[in-house]
Amino acid sequence: MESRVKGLLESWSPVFRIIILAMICVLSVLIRVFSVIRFESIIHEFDPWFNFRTTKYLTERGVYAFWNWFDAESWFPLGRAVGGTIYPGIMLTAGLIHSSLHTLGFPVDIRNVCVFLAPGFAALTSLAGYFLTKEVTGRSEAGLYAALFVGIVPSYISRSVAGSYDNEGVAIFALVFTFYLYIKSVNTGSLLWSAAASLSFFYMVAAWGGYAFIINIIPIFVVGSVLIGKFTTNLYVSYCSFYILGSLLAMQIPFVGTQVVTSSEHLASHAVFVFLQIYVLGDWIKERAGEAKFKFLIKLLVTSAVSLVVVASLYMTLSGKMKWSGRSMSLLDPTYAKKFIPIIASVSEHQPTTWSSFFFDLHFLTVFAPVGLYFCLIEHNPGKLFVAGYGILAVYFACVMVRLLLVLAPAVCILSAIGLSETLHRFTRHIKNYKEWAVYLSSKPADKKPKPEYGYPLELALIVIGLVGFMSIYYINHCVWVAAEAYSSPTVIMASKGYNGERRIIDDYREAYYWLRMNTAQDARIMSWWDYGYQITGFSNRTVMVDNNTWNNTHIATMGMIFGSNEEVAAQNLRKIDANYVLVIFGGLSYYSGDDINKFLWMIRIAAGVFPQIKEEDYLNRGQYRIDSGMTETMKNSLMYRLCYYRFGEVQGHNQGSGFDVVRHAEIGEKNIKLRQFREVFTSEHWIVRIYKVLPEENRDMIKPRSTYTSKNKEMKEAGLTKINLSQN
Amino acid sequence: MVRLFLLICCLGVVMKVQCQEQQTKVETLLELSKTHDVISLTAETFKKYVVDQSRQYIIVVFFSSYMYKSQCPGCQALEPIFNEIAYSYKALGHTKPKDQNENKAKPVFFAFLDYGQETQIIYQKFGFSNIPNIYVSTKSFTEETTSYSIDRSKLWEYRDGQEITSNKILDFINKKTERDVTIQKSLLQTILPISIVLTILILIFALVYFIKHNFTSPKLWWFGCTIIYITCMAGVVYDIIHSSSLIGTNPQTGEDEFIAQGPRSQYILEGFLMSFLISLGSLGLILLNSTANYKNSWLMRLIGIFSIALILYSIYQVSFAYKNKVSWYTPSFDPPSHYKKGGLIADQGNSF
Repeated sequence: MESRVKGLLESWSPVFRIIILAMICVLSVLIRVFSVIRFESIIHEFDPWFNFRTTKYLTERGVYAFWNWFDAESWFPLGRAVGGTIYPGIMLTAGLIHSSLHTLGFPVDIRNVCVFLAPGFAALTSLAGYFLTKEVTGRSEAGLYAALFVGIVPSYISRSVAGSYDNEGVAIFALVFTFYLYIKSVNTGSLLWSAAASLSFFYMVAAWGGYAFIINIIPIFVVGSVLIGKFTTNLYVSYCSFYILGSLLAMQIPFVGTQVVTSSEHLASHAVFVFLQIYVLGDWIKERAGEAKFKFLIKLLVTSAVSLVVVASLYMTLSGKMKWSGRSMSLLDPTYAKKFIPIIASVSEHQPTTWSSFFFDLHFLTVFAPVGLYFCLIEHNPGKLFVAGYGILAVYFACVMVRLLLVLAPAVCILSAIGLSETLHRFTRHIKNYKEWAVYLSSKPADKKPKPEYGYPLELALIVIGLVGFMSIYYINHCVWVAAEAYSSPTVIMASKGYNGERRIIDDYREAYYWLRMNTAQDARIMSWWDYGYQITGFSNRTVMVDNNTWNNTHIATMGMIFGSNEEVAAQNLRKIDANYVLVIFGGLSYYSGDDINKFLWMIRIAAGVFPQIKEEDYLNRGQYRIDSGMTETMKNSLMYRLCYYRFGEVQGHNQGSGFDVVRHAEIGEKNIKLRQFREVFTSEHWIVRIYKVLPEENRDMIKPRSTYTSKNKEMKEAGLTKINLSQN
Repeated sequence: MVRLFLLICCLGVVMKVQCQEQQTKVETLLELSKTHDVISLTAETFKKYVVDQSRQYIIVVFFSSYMYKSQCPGCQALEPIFNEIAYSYKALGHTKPKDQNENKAKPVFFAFLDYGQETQIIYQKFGFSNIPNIYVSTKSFTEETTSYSIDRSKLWEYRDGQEITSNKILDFINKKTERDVTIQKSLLQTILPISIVLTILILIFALVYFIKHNFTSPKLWWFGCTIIYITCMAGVVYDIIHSSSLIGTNPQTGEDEFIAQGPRSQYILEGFLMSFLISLGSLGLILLNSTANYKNSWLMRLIGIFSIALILYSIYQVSFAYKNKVSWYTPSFDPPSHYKKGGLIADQGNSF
């Protein structure tokens, strides 16, 4: 009876597995569509808008036009060669899906394809996680756990909610899938899997700059395996073929091109390839020459090489030929970047991670992962060693930069899955033997049988399983909450909750962009800070000066200089660069803290690097950044201040005086701003977006009273030589 | 006639004495600067070398304080820069007297005046309200009762929040001394980075050599990995870059605060404690697993209960600390009681 049930269950287990996997896939899609339900099907944030615009171009004009596209609408007047300066993976994927859906007869809008691309790929990532874990452990329940964890881990959700149409959304799938195929090729030693891995790597290169992680971690794994004496022919075959094919394929992406040979990011892969060849050669020599002679040779070679390197590096340092670059210095001294490269330190994505970010983005996985690490190292095989190495390296990188948590997330998920499934495996065995236990416990002390083989106390085993279940449920609860509340805001539309829970939607951005689209000339040039460049070109279809692709620092600094200088100088410069409108973001009325006044100091800092007339000290009053009556004269006269607070003095605040800025908690210092060179043309409902037109040059600016003339006039007047009506005028 | 001759003689003697005095001043300073890049001054020597008449050298004075260094970030930042510049001047031979009549060729000395009871009056006469400051004195000046007749353009004063960079200070001093000196690094400094790298490499090799026999032991590897895991999870790079303190103080009450408010900041102890607690949970799980294959005994039961308690304690503490830290973190789906209740349209999806 019992064996029949067991047999039946075993024969049905593949079906269960497929059903569970399908449910996990559905879950990982559904958890990401909160933003579509709460708001609408819309592209989020900044970078996705550029990706969306290029994808639209791709679907309208075709692949070749996309490849050769010179975009004249951004970086006016320089323009940007789009085809050669992007990772085209995500656009091509969306374009392919769009065209195949159309051939099949589903007339889906390209916007919807783009919005739902990332959730779709999240489902694929959880499948890839399943396969990788199954390949590593050989157990499918570990794979199922991994699929569940990967599908809903918050750090991955943050980059792949519906509408977040960005490179990372597809790249994480490519990352995990490449690792799966590579492990498969190491385990089988088959060239076919190796080739598949390099193709997947090719897709990753096409999709995201983070491919450098793969091309470094695989060589590190190979070297590590060789050093701890786990060299196998399989490893040799898989790495060599992967390296050669992968490098050649990576060169096909125009944006990467010859960087494969020149950049230091690929250096490790070249070095390991050479090292493997030398290692194999050494093996061969050892076989021919014998152990003793070979050892002597190795000692000789190593000592001479080490002393040569030491002497050479000492000589080169002393003679000044080898300089320690900023990058290598920052490895020795993490504060280097803060001291000397303030721009790097300023970007919030590049901040180092605190423990709470780890906990928020990974939750209980941080507790489970070391368990997996333990099992990976104790009962190791090549795959488990790979996963362990990946995890440790990724933890280090994530600790240096917040955005690299994304790379860590799959590793932690897989490690946790290994740890949890191992725990469950051990403790469910005790429950399986419940019958023996029941017999043992119910029998009288006199005729006690020997204790059952798996001797863990039953109630304790149950508690352990319950505990693991409770922690998993708590983790899922956290993930769903995070997906619903923290990571589903499109940032283009903002929502806030009132006291009674009613939602207030702030839709100023779209209002303003739509106004630009309908009320300005087709070829109007809009000047704004670079953050809004992609959105203006995407929403309004107008030309911008700078955008989020920050490739030209001088151009950005020019914008900073214009915002920092006084009205006359700014207007002259704006006319020189041929701008028609100026757009500023102002949150002082509606509690929107991410506005241009708060970003203004960074504009000044960036401008100061190029234009010596801009000095940060001039904008600070005794080191403090102020907008109230204590501000400096330069700050008061700057274009940014005048455009943001124009007419703001008329606004009567709630419980406060007029012109009260709620973000800075201060009453503004200059309430009576008059603009001579600009005219306010649009201000959105909550004053978040304000647009000004640059007026054409006035005639009377050309005639300036010359000092010689006035002094002469004065002399004449004193001598009584001028006519009365003239002097009266 | 005789008188005149006598007068000329006297004048000659006086001038010679003056010259000698000048000569001795330069020589003593030169002697001093041989051993120290920056010469420490007292109130007396300040008067003698900086204020008093008749000298043929430039002296750059750095006004700062040893005592209040810890409360003065500017002093901390400026001191190494000033020393470096002094070293560079000496290394390039600008302390040696060449032609004493032109500013360009006069020897340059670097001096330091500590703030104290005796020197207080000098600070007041300079009109400083803040330290650190630098004065490049190319010629002597006269002392009045309340102030000095100094050339204000040769004074560099620190303002609050100002950024001190080595380039700015060097530019200032170069301009005032009419020279073109670049920063010279001492031999020690040149070798320092490479020697650090070499020492680290040697240490790693030594470590590998000593644990050669246990090198492939998985337990050792796991131990190393866990240490890396704990340190990274503690946000060490954050602590270093933001130079966090061990524990903080609450801005409102002024009491000690162990957990920084907001998800984007932390204290050193907090990070390590939390990361250690997280690892305790993992340790509990690992203990459970390693006891699972023991034969039934009271020891196993004890370890089992202990491990479960460990896990529960760890996850409870970490979640509790996180909720305290981030006030908006409330992972529940029941809307607060004061929200509107009703259907999907009425409550706008709050209970959805």
